[in-house]
Amino acid sequence: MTRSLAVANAEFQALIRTKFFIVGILLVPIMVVASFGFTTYAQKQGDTEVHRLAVIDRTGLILAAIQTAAAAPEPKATTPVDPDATPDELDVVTKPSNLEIVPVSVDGKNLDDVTLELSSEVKAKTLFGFVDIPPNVISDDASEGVTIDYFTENVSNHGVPSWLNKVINQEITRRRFEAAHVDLSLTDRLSKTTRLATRALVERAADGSVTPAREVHRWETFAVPLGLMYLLFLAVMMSAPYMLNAVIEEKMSRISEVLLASVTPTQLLAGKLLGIASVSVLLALIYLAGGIYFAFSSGEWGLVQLDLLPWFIVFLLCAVLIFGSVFLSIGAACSDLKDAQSMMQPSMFFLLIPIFMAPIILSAPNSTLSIVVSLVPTATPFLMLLRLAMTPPPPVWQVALSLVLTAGTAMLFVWAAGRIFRVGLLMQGKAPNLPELIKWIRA
Amino acid sequence: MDAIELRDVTKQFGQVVAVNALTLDVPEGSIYGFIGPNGSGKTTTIRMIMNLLVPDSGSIRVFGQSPGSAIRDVVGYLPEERGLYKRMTARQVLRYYGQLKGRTTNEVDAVVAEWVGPLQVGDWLDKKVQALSKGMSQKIQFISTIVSRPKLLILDEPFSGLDPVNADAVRSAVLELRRRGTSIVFSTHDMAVAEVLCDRIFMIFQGQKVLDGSLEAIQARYGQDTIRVRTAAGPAALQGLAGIEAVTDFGNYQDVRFSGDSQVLLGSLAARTVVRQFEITKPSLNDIFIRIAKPPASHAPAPTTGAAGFAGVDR
Repeated sequence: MTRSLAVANAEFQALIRTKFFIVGILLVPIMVVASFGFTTYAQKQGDTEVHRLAVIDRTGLILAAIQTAAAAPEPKATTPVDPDATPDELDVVTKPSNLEIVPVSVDGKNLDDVTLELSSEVKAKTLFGFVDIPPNVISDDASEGVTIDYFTENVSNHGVPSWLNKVINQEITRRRFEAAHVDLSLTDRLSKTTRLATRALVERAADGSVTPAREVHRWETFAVPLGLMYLLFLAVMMSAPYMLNAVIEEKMSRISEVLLASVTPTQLLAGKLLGIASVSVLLALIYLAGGIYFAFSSGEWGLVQLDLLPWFIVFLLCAVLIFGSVFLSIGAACSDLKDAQSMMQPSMFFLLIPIFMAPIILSAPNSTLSIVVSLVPTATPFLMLLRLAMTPPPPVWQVALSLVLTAGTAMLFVWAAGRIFRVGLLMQGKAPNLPELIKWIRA
Repeated sequence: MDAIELRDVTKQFGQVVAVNALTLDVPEGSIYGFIGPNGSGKTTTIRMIMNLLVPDSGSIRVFGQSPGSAIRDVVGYLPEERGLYKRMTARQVLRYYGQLKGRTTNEVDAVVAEWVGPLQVGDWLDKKVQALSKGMSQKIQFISTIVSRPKLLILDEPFSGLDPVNADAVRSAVLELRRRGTSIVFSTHDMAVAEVLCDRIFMIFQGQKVLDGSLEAIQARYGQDTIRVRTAAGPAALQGLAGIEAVTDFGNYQDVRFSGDSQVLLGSLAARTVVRQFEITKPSLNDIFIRIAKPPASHAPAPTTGAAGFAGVDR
C-alpha cells in the first residue's frame, strides 16, 4: 500500500503541477462566463442599430398604440429563477431596442405600389421591415384567414415580429372589449394571473405535524442535476486521459521497466488510479466550492444540496475507477499516441452516452428507458447522479442496484487493467487488437 | 548461498525460444558479466530474474527465494534503455525511486550524499532531468539503482554512452559496491570492460549458455592459439599463409588464430615483411566472443581488412 501511495503521490504532484491542469481549472469557468458574456454582448451589440419599422395601419386605430409601446421604457427584467415572477411576466416579450416607427399612409395609392416601394427601402437598408394591418382586423367577426403581414429581409429575427404581434393583438383585444362596452379595468382585474409554485411532497414529521413542502426551485430541476453530471464528466476527462499519455510516455522512455522492478503491476496501477481519483476529487471540490460560493453570494440558497456531495464523491470514484482503468490499459497496451487515440474512440463513446441521454432523463426520470440506462454501469455514475439530484429521487432499490453493479464493474475493470498492465507495459511495437487484449487478460 | 540460481529456465515468445534450458549460479559478492550478441537472450534472462517475465519452465531463486515482492527491495536494476522523468528534478526522481523500494526520504538522501562526490553529480541534483546531459542522466540513473542499498545489482549496459571520465567514475562505483559486498551482474558488449571487471563471465548465444566461468578458465579452454602480430605490411602480410584460421584486424596489429607451429609462421612472416611484434597470447574475450557468435563465412558480410575495431578477416 505504501508503494501505491508513493505512486499516487507522484502522479498527483505531477498532474496538479502541469500547466494543463492549472490553466484547465481556470479556463473552464472563464470559458463559461466568457461565452455567456459574449452572447449577452453580441445581443446588445446587435441591437444597437436603429430598427426603422414602417407601419401601414389601414384601421387607423392601432398605430398610436404601437408608437406608445415603442416609446415605453423596458419592462421589468425577469429570469427563470425569479420566484415572484407571474406567468405573464415570465412570458414577457422583450421590446427590441432602438425601434423607430415610421407611419405610412396608403390614402389614394395602390397598396401594391406602397408595399413595393417599402420593399425597395428594406432592400436599400433604409427600413428594417414593415407591417401591413388590414382594415378589418378589429372587427370581432373578422375572417379566420385575415393576417397582419410583416415584411422583412431579416426573417431570422424573431424579436421584432414577436413584439409587434403582442402589441397589435393587445390593442385589437382592447378595441374589441371597448366596442362591446366591457370595462377594461375589470377585465384586467379578472384576468390577473396567479403564480403556480412547484413544490415537493408534504410529509409527516416524527412529532405528527405535517412538514410544509418546500418549493422546488426552477433551476433545481435542470441546472443542478446537469451541472453535477457535467462536473463529474469534466473531473474524469481532465485527469484520466492525462494518465493515458503519462503511461505511454513511461512506456516509451522505458521508465515502466524501472517501476516494475520496484513495484508490482497491481501496485503501480492502484497508485495511478489513486492519483487520478485524488486529482478528480480535488478538481471537483474546487468547482463545487466555487458553485456553492456563487449560489450563496447570489442568494440562491436552494440550489445548494449538500446531501448530494457524498453521492457525487462515490459516483466520481466509480467513474474514475472504470474509465481510469480503461485509459490506463490503453496507455499500457499502446506504444504511441496514434494507436492510443484510435483505441480511445470506443471508450469516449461510452463516456458520451450519458451526455446524450441526459435530456431524456431530465424530462422523464422514472421512465423505463431512464431506469434502464441509469443502471448501465458505465453510465450509472453520471445518470444515477443526475436522477439523484432531481425531485423526486429514484427509489432506493434502484440506487442500491446501480451501486452494486457499478462497484462490481469497477472492480472487474481494475482487475482486467492489472492484467493488461502486466503484459502491456513491457511490450513494444504494434498495438494489440481486441482478441489479443482478451488473451492478455485471460493469461 | 548464491545470489542467483537458475535451473533449466526456458522462455519462449511464440515460435522463438529466447532462453533455452538455462542453468546458472551467480555467487554472492561477485561481479558476473553477461555477454552475448544482440537478441541472444540476455535481457530476457535479466527480466526473468527481475520477475518482469515469468519463465515457461525451470526455476529461479534470488538469495534463495523465488523472485517477487520479497526480493524486489534487495535488487537494484538498471535497464538497458534508460528513462527518467524529465520534468522532475534529479533529487525528486531519486527520492521517488527510493520510495518505490520502500525507503524513506532521509534514507535515500543519505545514500545520495555518499555518491554525490564520487560520481560528481552534486551541482545537478536540483536541476530538472531534461536539463541534464546524457552522461549526467546516466549517472543519476545509476544512483537511482543503488538508492535502496541493494544486495544484488543488475546493470544492463551500464557504461554505454558514457565518456571515459564518466565511465571510469561508474566503474569505480561498481568496484566500491562489490567491495561492500554487493553482488553485481552486468551485461555488456564491451569485452574489454568485462575482462577487467568481471570475476566470472557468462555468455548466452541463441538462447543457450555457451560460456560460464572465470576469464582464466574460459581462456584456458580456448588454448594459447592466438598470436598478436605487428608487421610493416599489416594484414596483407598474413594473406595465404598456411595454418591461419582467422584474423582479427585491430589496425595497428592483428590477432591471428593459428593451428600449427608458430615458429614456422614467424619464419614465413619474416620472409615477407619486417616483423615488429610477434606474441603468443591467450585469446581475448573479444576473440572468443567472435568465434562463437560470428555467423559462418558463407553467411557473413564481405570481410574488411585494415579497418579498426572488431572487423575480422576470415581466411
